[in-house]
Amino acid sequence: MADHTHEQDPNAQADAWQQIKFTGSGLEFFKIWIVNLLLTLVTLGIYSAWATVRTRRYFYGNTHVAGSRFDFHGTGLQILVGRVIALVLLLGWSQGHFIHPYLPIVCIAIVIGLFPWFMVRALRFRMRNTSLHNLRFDFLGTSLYAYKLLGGYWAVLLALSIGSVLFFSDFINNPGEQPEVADFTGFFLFMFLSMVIYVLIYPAFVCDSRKFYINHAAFGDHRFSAQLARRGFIGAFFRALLMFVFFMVIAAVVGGVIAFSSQIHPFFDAGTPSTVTVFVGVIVVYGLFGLTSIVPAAYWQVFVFNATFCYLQLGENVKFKAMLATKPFAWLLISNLLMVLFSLGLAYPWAAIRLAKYKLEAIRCQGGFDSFEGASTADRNALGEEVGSAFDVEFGF
Amino acid sequence: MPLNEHQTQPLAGTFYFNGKAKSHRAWLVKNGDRLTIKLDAEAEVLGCRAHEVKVSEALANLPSRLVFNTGDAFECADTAAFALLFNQHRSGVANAVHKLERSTKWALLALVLMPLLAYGALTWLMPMAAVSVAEAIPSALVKQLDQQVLASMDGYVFAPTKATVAQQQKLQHVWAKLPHGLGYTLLSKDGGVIGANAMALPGGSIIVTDALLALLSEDELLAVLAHEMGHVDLQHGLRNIVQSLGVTLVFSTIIGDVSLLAESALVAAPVIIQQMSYSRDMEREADEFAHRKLTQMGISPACLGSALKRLMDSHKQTGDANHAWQSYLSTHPSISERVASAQGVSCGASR
Repeated sequence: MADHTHEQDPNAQADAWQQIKFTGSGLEFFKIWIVNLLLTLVTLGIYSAWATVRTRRYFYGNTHVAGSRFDFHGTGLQILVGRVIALVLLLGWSQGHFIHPYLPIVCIAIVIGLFPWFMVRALRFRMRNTSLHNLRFDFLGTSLYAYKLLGGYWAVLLALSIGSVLFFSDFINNPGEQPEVADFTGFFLFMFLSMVIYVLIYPAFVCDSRKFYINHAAFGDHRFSAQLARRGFIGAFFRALLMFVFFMVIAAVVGGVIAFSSQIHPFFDAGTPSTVTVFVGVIVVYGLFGLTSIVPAAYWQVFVFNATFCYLQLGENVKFKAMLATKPFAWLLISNLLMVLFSLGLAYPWAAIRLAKYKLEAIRCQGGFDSFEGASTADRNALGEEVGSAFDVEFGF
Repeated sequence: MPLNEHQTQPLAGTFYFNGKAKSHRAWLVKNGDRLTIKLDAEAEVLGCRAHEVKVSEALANLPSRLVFNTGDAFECADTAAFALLFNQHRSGVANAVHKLERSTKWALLALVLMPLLAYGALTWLMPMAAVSVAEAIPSALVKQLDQQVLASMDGYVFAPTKATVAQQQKLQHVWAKLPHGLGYTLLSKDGGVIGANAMALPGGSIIVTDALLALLSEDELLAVLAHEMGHVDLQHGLRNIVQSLGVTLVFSTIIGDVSLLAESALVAAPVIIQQMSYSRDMEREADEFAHRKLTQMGISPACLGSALKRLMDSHKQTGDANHAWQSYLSTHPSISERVASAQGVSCGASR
């Protein structure tokens, strides 16, 4: 009988770096996943809310920190209510014109205008329903602060997307007219400019929103904090982008070489390329394009993960660090993708467990949780907390 | 405390006081309905009734938890021993799900059942549901949809008609002969690249291209119009929209990502209509509908077949490898039958 207070003695190892352990198993999760999928199908999707809770509890419960495990306390009903709200808004967005021409605009305005509010609700829902050592996490950020923090980014991104929509609709609405050269130049200048702005803004946005999540999160009576610098994020995003361009050029060159050689190589039919060459060429080029998107994405994700945890602190005494490495992480993403593709999706549970194990076990923490205290763990969900699960986001652990 | 037959063996676990992260080794004893917690070398710290505690749902081999109404909690890693004592206090549904999740037999069964169920749902549950949902949609809404589709296609696919006065008169003459309710709107347009074609929108708008007018005889034109009326009358277009929305809805809830609905432009109704092809069954139904109309009017049903043959030939001639047209033909199961019958019975074509 395992008594997990004895897994680690928190007092003796308070100063040592402890690894976070993840004990989920692929086969075990496969059974949970497939049964929940079947139940979801039989109930025409309604059970998926409860399936989400069970999946989340499985991952949380198998994550060990300082002699305890996480747990998730949200209920299926809360998630269902949140989903119905999101569904109504998104249906209104995509199908609203069917009922009233202005309905989609109203729905889009609600989703975009209230996004910071939804985000705060979602974080609160997620944090308050997460526990460790029988103590709940909390999120103390306010919507007002979220608006202040995100408002600037929001305005710029919105202006950029409205601008591009206007440019596009200009082309579409005048299909008969030959667009003038000046129109094209303007369009490409706009696209280039917005790309530059996007490259600068997106990493800063990720940095600031992470700071917002973390600096307003609490565990018991202690606050989380992280000093994240925008400059590092922008540099890392730019390097990822360079990687992307580099791989893109390689893919284009290889694709070109294959296409060209298939035309002149005497081994294959002269003139028309044989089906085999076309097939091989398509696979090679697609594979390369796959790499182009995965490797830079892995680099960026690893950077954000490590940067977040290396500056993460809980109260005065608990410190974190993370040691994710780009190469093995990229390989993990690629092999997971291949696994899931070739098993027609059936290997998804193993892929999810591998990913969680790799990421979680890269985290170390220092300092004990024994002195932590907090408010009552009794249910303090305010009415309407469900709204938070409407646009539930992945965060933190 | 004297041992009696209701008292269980002490269950070892971890105890947390409300609002404190510090863990304590503890033992739980259940005596009938009475629960007691003892800490290391200490006397009893807590006693209460079993029905007053919240018991966590069983999941895989995760530790089980009791939360007392004081907010204190007891965690136990020995889930089997815990289940013996507390399963009766858990929800029956959750217990059943837990049992299914641990069984290899059920995992394999789910693996086999799922594709079958998905196939069944897609091939007959969804179409069946679509029929009743389509009937419940107010016709004013559907008419509005027609307007949107037309607006998006005008200037893009269609241009104002360039048909001669004689051809216009032929169309009006045929339309007057064909008995139709008030719900229909006949439109004649220049179809440009799509060539000789006719289409019906869910709200009752039937569009005939100039090339079609030039190609078909009066009786053949009548047969094609009757066929398109069949699609409207049997709500084929509306059923397609409802069905494709339903599939997206179920799929997105299954994978838990409702944003799919907004992201996928495919679910926007006007887009669906423009990309839609009717199923073989729908085409057969519309053919049968036209068949009945023609028979009622004393016109040979073979006219539909000969119209279709003429359409097919015209698109072959122009070397038109238009995919939409090809798939239109491929969904026409009755085309060869009709064409065959057209050879036996004359359509009495007069152009």
